[in-house]
Amino acid sequence: MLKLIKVKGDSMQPCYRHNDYLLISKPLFRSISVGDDVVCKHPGIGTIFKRINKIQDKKIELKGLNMLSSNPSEIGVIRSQDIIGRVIWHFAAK
Amino acid sequence: MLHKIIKHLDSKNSVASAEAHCDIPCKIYDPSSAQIAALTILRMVDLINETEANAGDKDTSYLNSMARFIATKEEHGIKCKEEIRIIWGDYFKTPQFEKFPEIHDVTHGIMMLASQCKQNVDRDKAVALVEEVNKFAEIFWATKDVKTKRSTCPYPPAVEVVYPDL
Repeated sequence: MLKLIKVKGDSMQPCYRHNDYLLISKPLFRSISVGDDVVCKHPGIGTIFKRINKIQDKKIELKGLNMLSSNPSEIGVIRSQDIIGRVIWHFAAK
Repeated sequence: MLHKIIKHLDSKNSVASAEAHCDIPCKIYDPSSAQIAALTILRMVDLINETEANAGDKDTSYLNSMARFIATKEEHGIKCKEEIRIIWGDYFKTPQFEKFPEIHDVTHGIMMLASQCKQNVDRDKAVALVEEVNKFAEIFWATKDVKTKRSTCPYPPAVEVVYPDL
């Protein structure tokens, strides 16, 4: 149920940095909501780590946390079953 | 401290990773490079045909010109395909595909026509390639809610080209 994940890349800076570790868990006691940071299996990109930007008609829109990240429309949408886990603990490199 | 412990464990038993990469260069997509490549192919076909029609002795000058035209046609055929593939593969995502499902056929049509233009000296195919890339450009700008207009390009081969109406 719990999973350890390493962050690769800078699109979630300043909150998360390259090589930080995350402890994630499947959303169990609380459904996912806007603002949650999630690791998911994106149908086109693969396993990615992003923040939930919008939920509409069971479609979940994701975003990075800085200007250099692709915008939500470029990332596209996922479904709730694509979510591998929500961050429950963050182990920062520094 | 905890990070160091996990990092040590990671070095022994690799931890799965999740990508949080940025796409650099960010958000700079424009079909104009593909349009210019398609126009160049058409122009090279015209130059090849004109040079062949006006050739007297097929001397080294003739061979040199032909070699240059053919090499340029080949180069821009590759460029046209690459530019379109990048926009289709990197820029277009589910929302754009849902709104413009015809983009797959248009993209595939461009791949086929560009290959045929590389393999042959066929003006009709080159004109069809320019038009197919125009269609791609119209869809691309529509995804950004940018209006387009069609005008004759002010240089040879002087054919209709789609431009963003900014």
